[in-house]
Amino acid sequence: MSTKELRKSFSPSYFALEDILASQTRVPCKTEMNLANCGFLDPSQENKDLAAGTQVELPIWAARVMSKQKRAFVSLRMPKFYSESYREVLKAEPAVVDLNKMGPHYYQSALQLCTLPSDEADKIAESLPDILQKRVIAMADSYSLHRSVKSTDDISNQLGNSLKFHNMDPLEVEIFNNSKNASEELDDWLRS
Amino acid sequence: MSGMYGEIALELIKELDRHKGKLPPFQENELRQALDEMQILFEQNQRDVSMNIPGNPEFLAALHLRHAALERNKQCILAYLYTRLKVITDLRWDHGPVIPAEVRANMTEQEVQFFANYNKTLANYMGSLGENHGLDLTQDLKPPKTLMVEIRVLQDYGEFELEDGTSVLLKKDSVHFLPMSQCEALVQQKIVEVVQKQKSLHQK
Amino acid sequence: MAGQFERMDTENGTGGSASPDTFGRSDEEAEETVTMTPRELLTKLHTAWMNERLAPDLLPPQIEEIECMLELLRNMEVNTAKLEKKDIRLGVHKMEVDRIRYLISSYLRIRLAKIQEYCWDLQTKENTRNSQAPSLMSPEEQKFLKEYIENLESHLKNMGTQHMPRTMQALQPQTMSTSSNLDSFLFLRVSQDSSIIVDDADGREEEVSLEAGSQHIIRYRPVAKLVPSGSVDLV
Repeated sequence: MSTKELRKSFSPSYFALEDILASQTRVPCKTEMNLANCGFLDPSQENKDLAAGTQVELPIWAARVMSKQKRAFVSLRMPKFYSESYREVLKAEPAVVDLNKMGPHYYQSALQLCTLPSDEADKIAESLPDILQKRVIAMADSYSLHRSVKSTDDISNQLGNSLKFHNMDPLEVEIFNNSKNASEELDDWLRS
Repeated sequence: MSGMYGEIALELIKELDRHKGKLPPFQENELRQALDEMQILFEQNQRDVSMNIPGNPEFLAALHLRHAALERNKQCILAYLYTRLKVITDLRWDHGPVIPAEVRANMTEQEVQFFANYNKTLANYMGSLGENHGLDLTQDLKPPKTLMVEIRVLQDYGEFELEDGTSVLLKKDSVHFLPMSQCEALVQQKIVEVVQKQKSLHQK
Repeated sequence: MAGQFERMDTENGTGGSASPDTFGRSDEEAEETVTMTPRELLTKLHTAWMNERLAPDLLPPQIEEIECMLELLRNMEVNTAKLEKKDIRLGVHKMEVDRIRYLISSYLRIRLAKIQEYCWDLQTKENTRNSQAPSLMSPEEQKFLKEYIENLESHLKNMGTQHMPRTMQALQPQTMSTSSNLDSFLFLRVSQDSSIIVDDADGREEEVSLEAGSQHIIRYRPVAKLVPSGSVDLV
């Protein structure tokens, strides 16, 4: 109870489970030189070494170290779901997209991806606030129309085209639950 | 991506995340395996360094990768231990100074000791308040809106003495009308449950 | 709150007060005696509580005020106990006592939560603070922090780092330290004309004046310094 009373703020933490999970997201990389003893990174081949020009997927935490050297061991591009074409879809119809499929930690991973050396990093960072904002508005609109709804299962049935619960990223779920609880507590207090 | 480092340590984190704020059993096996992996990585790096290999950039990659994996494992292990301690700390506030049996079953001896130490630190602090008269910060968790509350007794408790000196017999299933502030501890320990909130005598 | 809060004080007098209408702390060790009415004390604590709830970081402690209020509370409880069970004032007095106790408890709880959450950050601040500057914590809170960290670190070492390779064993406060998000946005009401430095769109620093009576939604960081003095209130 004690630490739950703190206003939750969105800052990175060494111990935060979500940060650790988000940094496991896989990043497509290409080796820039022969990497000795790294053959195990490519499960499709048996060599001890990893030849230059090989495509491998590395989790963000490994991609970061391998790409940020003076002479980078790998070059990288952003994962599929953060590419230009997917970003366009999100920009056009933010509320419809199933972010869970693109996740499982879309926003958190995005924040980490932005710290990687890539041309796309800035564009991804710019796109995030807009996406989140539009989806939260869609969430709020549906919720206020369905105040009598008790469970989140009901909501996903009734929302139609609006933001479906099972499409929500964990961050959005948390925003949703916090707002719902605050709203219910206010109602209780006003009624009593 | 089979054979990637840090997979086992990550399992610790995933398990905690799945349980969302509750304490699952301690995964001693996985912890030990993650520590073993750290030892292997460390020794591989030491061998590479002692063979004077670092001169050649091709061999540097593996060194960096292993080091990153060492840091990753360390972070996962520490986050696992720390997050469990946070859940255990919250226990003190949600359930009082006695650990519920079903949670205790999932705790290691060291975690039980941590809880006891935390309890003591908290008690010392609370006791120092008000010029050592003390103030129990684990009470008064909600702003008082009601004066009296109707409660139902969940288990036989016996005589409960109220602050004004009178006492009431808390027999299982009996219902009583008692001052809110004096019921809080009983509600927390699940001896009674609130039936209905009463309106306060003075409405705003 | 009903007026009998002050009436109770005048009926019974409280420790250390010079006159029936004021509550003073005439502690020999205090450099000056601050007197204020119980109502003023309660308002001050209410503001401190609101600010502490809303501010991302730990604010300066209201040590004297809390101790005063606790003493006042004890007297109120004694007096309430003296009333007849059937006395109509009993319920109302009890209500006020409960309210004040809630205020103090909540305030101190939030501080403990912050101390726990940002423990390494606070420890570093405390260790690097120059001895003239006041601490962010009361002596008892500092003791709590010290014991809390010892308990935490000893566990992390025994269960974790002690079993790791030699060069990985260090527990580094800078790495583990979480600090609160000073860039969170808050609602602010300005009570005194003040000015703050903000970064404008080009990254240059700019002085912005805040007029008394105005309200803003603003990031916490630029206004953090103004909160303790009361020039701005968080709402």
